[in-house]
Amino acid sequence: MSTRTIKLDMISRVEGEGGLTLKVKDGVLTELKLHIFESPRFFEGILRGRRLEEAPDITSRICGICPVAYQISSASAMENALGIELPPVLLDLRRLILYGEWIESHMLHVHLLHAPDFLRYSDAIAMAKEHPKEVQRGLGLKQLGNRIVSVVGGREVHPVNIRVGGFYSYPSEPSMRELRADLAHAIDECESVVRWVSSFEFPDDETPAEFVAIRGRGAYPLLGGEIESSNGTSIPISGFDSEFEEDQLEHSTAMHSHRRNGDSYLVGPLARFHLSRGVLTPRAQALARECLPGGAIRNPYRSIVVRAIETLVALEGSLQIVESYEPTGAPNVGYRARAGVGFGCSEAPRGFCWHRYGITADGLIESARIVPPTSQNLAQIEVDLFAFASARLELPDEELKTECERAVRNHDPCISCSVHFLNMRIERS
Amino acid sequence: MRVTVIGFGSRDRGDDGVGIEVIERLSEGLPECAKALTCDPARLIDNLPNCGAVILVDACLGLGEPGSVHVVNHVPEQQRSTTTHGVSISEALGLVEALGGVRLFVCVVLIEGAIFDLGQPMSLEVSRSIPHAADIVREQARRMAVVSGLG
Repeated sequence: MSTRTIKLDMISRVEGEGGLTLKVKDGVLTELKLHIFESPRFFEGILRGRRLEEAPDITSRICGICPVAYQISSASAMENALGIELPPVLLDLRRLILYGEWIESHMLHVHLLHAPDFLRYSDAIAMAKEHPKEVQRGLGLKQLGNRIVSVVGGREVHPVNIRVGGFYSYPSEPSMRELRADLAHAIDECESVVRWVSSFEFPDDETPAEFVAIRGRGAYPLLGGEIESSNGTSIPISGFDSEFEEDQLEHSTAMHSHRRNGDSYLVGPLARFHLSRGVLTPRAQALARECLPGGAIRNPYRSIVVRAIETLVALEGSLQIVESYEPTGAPNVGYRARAGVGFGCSEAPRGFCWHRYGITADGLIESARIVPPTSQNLAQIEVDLFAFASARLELPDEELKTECERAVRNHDPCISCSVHFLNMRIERS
Repeated sequence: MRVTVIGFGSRDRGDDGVGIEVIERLSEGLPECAKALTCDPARLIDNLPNCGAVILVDACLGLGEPGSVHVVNHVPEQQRSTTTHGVSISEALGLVEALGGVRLFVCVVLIEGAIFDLGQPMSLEVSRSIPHAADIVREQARRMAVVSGLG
């Protein structure tokens, strides 16, 4: 009897810290665990007893890459609890700042974390030496995403302008006009990015996962009202708890989400694209036909193309909002605190982020639940990796580690968010 | 091309904010080719275009007495950090070199801290060291401008 343990102590080029252990007995993979050892961060506990107005600023600190999704999900949950609705101009600004976050996060992942895998470079620095034009182009697009967040949110990291009821102030019209010319040019640049990443070679792989995302209602999904699934069902966001639950596992400081029947699922670009491909903008639709032909895209490696297409969607959406920007009325909707429960949901770059808060009559948070995208994906990533690694056990340990790291990066996990997580070990016996 | 001086830190964590405080003291005395700014480490790469030399200013722990100022000409070896979200300070500098086809002149000014707890004020020792640290940054900026041919 032989045992082989393959351990990857720290998976590189992912957001946060985690590891992976594979146990192989007599040539058969018997156990695979994604260890998430980044410290738990107890955000839900921090929120309890604080005023409802504090939630957007506190939750933004969950992540330095996707703070906007946390801010918008928490603000809209409070608005839901208070029974207030935002006028179209404020909803457009929420979409715009979220698009900015998608652009910067996707372009960072595509160019600095994911593309080196396909072009067989050890890291982005080595790739940049031989592909400077492509990396410069990607960083330029990323910077435009940063600028959008800064113009609407007041600053690039952990923006400060989002509040319950809307925004503290409107972005200035000159700063929005300056974005306009750059967005038009960036759309052309992004088309080139889509074609560049679609020219990569994609290993054969397919996830059988159920895909879950916010229902787009005629547009690509962004802000929540309903959650839909590739199994054909949809539920209001308030029904999330009745369909999904989270478990605590010994090997992970991040929770694992799954269906109440135990099935795992995927959120994020592949899920959104699968469910809402039909409502892409005409330009994105044409590029998707050219670069992702065929039916369902279930190959996680092709998520790099999907992220580039989603960036195009975000740039086009941003331009549309900037062109029609007319600040009218107050930048926020007034309210009076009242007891209640509120639900909020928005699509972060890595998938939807679900929030639920219980509020007291005097405006204090008495209960808080936050379900980030990566904790929703962890169980399915383990399932997919098990199948992936089982089919590649003949590889030497180092090569198997490299391939498993690549497979994890396909999902762009944000470990820091999920703990609110990579090391890899392979044990062969 | 220019000399970029970047301060890191968080004012909410006692002495950790000293990099920011030093930058705010630099309104005068920098060479014309130098620009001083503060940024989150995660956004470092966005702040280095057209940069030929970079001076990083930050708090440190374990190099000497609180308030002591240390100058090194390389980025200290760091463990992979969660704060830069996939792009470490060394990687950001490496990318700038790879993209620009240049060798960046790098200098790191470190101020030993004592208190890094959330919500704590800056220690007296570190607070008193800020003018001295700012003088050292100015001197290093002038030196780097000359050495890198920017001055």
